[in-house]
Amino acid sequence: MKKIIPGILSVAVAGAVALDGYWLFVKDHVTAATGNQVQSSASSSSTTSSSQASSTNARTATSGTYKNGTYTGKATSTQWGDVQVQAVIKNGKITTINVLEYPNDNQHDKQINSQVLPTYKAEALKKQSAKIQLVSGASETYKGFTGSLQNALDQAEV
Amino acid sequence: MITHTFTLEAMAMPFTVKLKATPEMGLSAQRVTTYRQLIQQELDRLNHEFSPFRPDSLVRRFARQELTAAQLTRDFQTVYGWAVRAQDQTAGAFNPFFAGHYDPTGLVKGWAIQRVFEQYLRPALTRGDLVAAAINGAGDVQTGVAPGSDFYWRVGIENPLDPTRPTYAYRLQNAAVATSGTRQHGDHIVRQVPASLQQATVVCPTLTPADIYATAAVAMGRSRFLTFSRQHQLSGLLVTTGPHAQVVRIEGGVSHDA
Repeated sequence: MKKIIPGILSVAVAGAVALDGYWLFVKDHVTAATGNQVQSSASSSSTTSSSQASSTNARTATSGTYKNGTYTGKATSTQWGDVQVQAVIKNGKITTINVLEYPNDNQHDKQINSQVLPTYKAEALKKQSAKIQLVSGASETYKGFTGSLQNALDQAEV
Repeated sequence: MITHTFTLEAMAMPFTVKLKATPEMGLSAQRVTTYRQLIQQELDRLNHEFSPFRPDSLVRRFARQELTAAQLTRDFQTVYGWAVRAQDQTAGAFNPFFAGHYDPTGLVKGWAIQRVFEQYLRPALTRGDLVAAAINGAGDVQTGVAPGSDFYWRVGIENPLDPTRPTYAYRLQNAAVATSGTRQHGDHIVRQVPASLQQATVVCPTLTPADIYATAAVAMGRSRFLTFSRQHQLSGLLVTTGPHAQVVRIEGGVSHDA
C-alpha cells in the first residue's frame, strides 16, 4: 500500500502537469499559419478566455507533433503588466518566441510607481554588523567575505 | 521568538533560509526539514529548466532550436516575458540576448527565490504558522512577515570598500533587496558606458524586479541610473568607482549622499 500511493500520486501529478501544459499552451490557440501575426492583443486575449471555456472537446493534436505555425500561450503576470508569448514552430521545434504587447500598456508606469515603495527603512550602521540578520551583496563577493559574514550571523543568532 | 536557520546549496550558490515563530506556533524540527526539502527540490527543478550550464536545460535546448511546444512550460514563458519586458523597460541595459542567444541568468536567481518564497513561506505567514521568513540566495534577499506583525528584518548591505563591515542596512517587512557588482557571476552584465558604479543595491517589494534593476544599474552607470530611478521612483544604494568612491542613497527616486 505504501508503495502504491506514491505511485498513484506521481502518475496523477504527471498527468496533471501534462494536461496543464496542454491546455495552457497548445490548445488555447491554433493561430492560423506561420507568419500570421495576431493583430490585436485585445482580441487575442478574448480568444484565450473563450477557447479555454470551450476547450473540453478538442483534443486532436497527436502527442509530440505540432504543425508548423504560430501558437500563443496564456498570459502571465509581471510587474509591468501581463505578458503573453507566441511561439513560431517549424518542423516540430520552436524557432522564435515573440512577446505580445498588451493594450493596457500605459498603466504599467502607474503600477511600477505604486509597487516600488516597499515597507522599509534605511539606516546607517554605527557598529559593525549591529543587529543585522541578513547580508546582501554581489554574488561574486558573496562566496568570500559576505557569505562568511552571513554564516557567522547565522551562528550568532539565537 | 524562536529562530530556525538552515543553509542549502542550489544553482551552484549558497542559500540561507530564516524562519521565525513564537513558541505557541509549535514550529517543529520536522516541519523545518520539510520546508528545507521543498525549497531545495523546487530550486533544483528550476535550475534544471533555466541553467545556462546544463546542456539539457530548457534554455539551452531553446537556444539550439530543439524545444518542442509541449516543453514550453508556463515558467519558461513567464521568465521569457520578464526578460523581454526588462530589456524593453531598461532600454537594453538589462540584456537577456547579449551573447546572441537567449540567456535569462540575470533574473532567474531572483525570480526563483521569489517564487519559492511565495510558494512555501508566504502561505505559512498568512496561515499564522510563522511570524517572519527570509531567503538569502548569494546576496539577494526576499523577506516577509505575518499580516499585522511589527517584526522587521534587518538586511546589511555589503560595503565593497570593506566587505567585512557593512555600513548600511535596510529594515524590511515584505520586501526584497538585490545587489549587483562589477564582477558579476556569469558575466551577464554588458556595460554600456565606462564603469561608474562598482556596486548597486535596489529595494523592491519583490525580488525579480530588484534583481533586474540592480543588474541594469551597473550597466547603466551612475547618471543614467539616477535618471531611471527618478522616473520609476526606485530605492537603493549605489557605490561609485574611482579613488574617491561615494555611497549614494536613493529614496523613491530622490538621491542623497549617504
